[in-house]
Amino acid sequence: MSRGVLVDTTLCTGCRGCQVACKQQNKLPPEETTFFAKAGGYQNPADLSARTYSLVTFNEVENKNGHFDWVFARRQCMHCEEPSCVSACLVGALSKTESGAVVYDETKCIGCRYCLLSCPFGVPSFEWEKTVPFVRKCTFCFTRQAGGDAPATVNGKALDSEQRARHKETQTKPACTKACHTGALMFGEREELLVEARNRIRKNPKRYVNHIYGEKEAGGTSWLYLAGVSFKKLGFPMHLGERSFPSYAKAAKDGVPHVMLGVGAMLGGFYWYNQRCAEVAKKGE
Amino acid sequence: MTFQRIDRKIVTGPTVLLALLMLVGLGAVVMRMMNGLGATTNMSDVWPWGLWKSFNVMTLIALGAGGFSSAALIYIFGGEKYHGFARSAVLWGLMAYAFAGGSLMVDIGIPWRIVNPIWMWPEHSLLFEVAWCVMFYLTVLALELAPALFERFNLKGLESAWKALVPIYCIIGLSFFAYIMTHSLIWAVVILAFYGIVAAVLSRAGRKQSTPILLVMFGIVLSSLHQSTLGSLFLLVPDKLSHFWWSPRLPFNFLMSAVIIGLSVIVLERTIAPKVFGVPRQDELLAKLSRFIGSFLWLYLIFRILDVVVEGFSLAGTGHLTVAFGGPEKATMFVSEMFLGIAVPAVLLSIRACRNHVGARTFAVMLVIAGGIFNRLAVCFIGMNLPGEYVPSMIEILVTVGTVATMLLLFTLGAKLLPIYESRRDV
Ligand code: SF4
Ligand code: SF4
Repeated sequence: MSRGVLVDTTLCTGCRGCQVACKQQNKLPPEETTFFAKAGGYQNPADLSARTYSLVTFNEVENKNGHFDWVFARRQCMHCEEPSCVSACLVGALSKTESGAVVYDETKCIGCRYCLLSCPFGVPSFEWEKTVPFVRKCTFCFTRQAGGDAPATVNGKALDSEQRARHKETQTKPACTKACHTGALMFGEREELLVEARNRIRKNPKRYVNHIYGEKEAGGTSWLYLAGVSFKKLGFPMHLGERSFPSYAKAAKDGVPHVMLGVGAMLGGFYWYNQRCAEVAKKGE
Repeated sequence: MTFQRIDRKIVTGPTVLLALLMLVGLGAVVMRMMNGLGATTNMSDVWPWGLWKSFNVMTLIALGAGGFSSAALIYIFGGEKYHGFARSAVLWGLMAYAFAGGSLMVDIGIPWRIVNPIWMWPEHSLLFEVAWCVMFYLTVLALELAPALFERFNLKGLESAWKALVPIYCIIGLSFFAYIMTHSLIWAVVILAFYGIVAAVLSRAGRKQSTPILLVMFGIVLSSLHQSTLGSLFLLVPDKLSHFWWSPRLPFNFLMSAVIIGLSVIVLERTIAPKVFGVPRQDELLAKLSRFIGSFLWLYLIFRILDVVVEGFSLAGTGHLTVAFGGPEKATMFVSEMFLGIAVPAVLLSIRACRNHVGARTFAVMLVIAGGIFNRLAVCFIGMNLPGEYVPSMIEILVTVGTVATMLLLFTLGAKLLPIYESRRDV
């Protein structure tokens, strides 16, 4: 089963706890930033980068009364169901694990940046300033997710089974979802999250727009979003369609052996024909 | 057909100039290596592919397409009369591909890992296919050029070994290629058997050719694949590339334009060579070849326009028409490309008087080449609907200039050292 996160932007308070947790988890160096450097105001830093894998976005959205509301959303790797970046990579440095995470192996990467080009959500970043640069992006904390059972004792105290279960749950969920204190980030099986999202919309049709972002976009993503306003206003790409991008590439790639046969047959045929013509012409002389 | 080398001084004014430009380019490469991509280029996370990918790799490979197009014309489609063009087209192709590969080493983040695709095989990646095609095709070009070396240094023994071994190399190469592209032994065996049979049948068909026909076929198969796949690479960006250029038919557009650009480069080269090398002028042949180019251009023009129309219809219902096609400047660029890069030369080359007139003919093929270069840059970055903009940095431009200068320099050197151009008495 493949896991995902349901981001309920209507619950997000913009505290950026998840953003900080992500920095800590991945031991990312700080970035020099300024408020209002770009449109977005308090959004800080302005964009994802090789030092910022996840980012709370600050969106000013006009409400019914003609005033502006802050609506917070979140950007990180969407861990696509059929990731363009994985299809792109020519050395297999990127791969989709069974648990849903799209992970990167820097020991293979050659730094061609095709993954950056192909990502529909503009996620992977490159360490441009380094002389030996790698690609950086959210890992879905796949090392945490792979974590084992809780230890028998913590600080010398034995844990009962309920404590052990809770320990395991908190230690194996992605750092951002652990940090979130409002329930805006919910970690779980993607299928269950979809059911949950539909339930929330059904129970509260006034609170939500009827759109689960990530359910179908570009073939679907592991991360799913709910919002009270159109996702367009939150800066999400709206023109991706439902077909996964790698399916175009796959069609082209599957054609390779057929092209090898077809072109070969055509060339061979023409060659043979021309040679025969030449021979016949010679005999006729 | 016999070939001879250009018996002229190696060091001349123009070659010195080219050498200087080469040094400037080298300096820029050193700067890039020492300071990293961020400090020396204008690429960014939003614009991850720039001048080097679009010109040094994609455009150079299109410019080098003359090697396979002319080989197809000469050996397969009975265009024996163009035989004299074969070697210079191959030498130029070799330069183009070698420098495309070399430039890639400058462009990628970790140059020494350029060899990684040799042992890492993600069969689903289109770029992986391109990498292998280009590697194999470089060996094909080198093998096609080998007879020039045999002649020059009188290596009779090597030549017979080459004749005997090349077909085997081709069959095994094709089969191996099929295997790593599909990870399927069945396909590998099918391709092996197919080309084995082709080789057996064709070896009985008719006269001996100077180049083993399987080598020619190998080259054409690889070229059809990677020239089109360079377009397919962008199938992954339907959300970014303006649909004036993006369509599911992008690979066909690329293949067609590669043939057209490759042949145009041959015409241009054959117009310049008499001036700089004193090789005989072959106006009649060039006029004939240009007629081909003209017909291909018409086909290509119709295809491109239909392509955009179909794209427009298929997007009409989605409400994303403007997002997909981009603003008026994209439309202007598209119309200019269609008009100046395809329609005008198509008309010129369809008129007999223009084809026979050196000036008009050369002007037409230069338009084609310029249009082709623009097309590759457009698909790679100019045509992208992305925020901000990318303009290549000075270092990027210098590397590109240096690359072209080095290619021209080495080509000149090759023509002076090896029998590349046909002898005067053969013409
Ligand atoms: S969001 Fe981008 S980087 Fe993440 S899995 Fe999808 S294509 Fe890959
Ligand atoms: S930059 Fe690295 S991870 Fe991305 S496609 Fe290229 S080799 Fe793969």
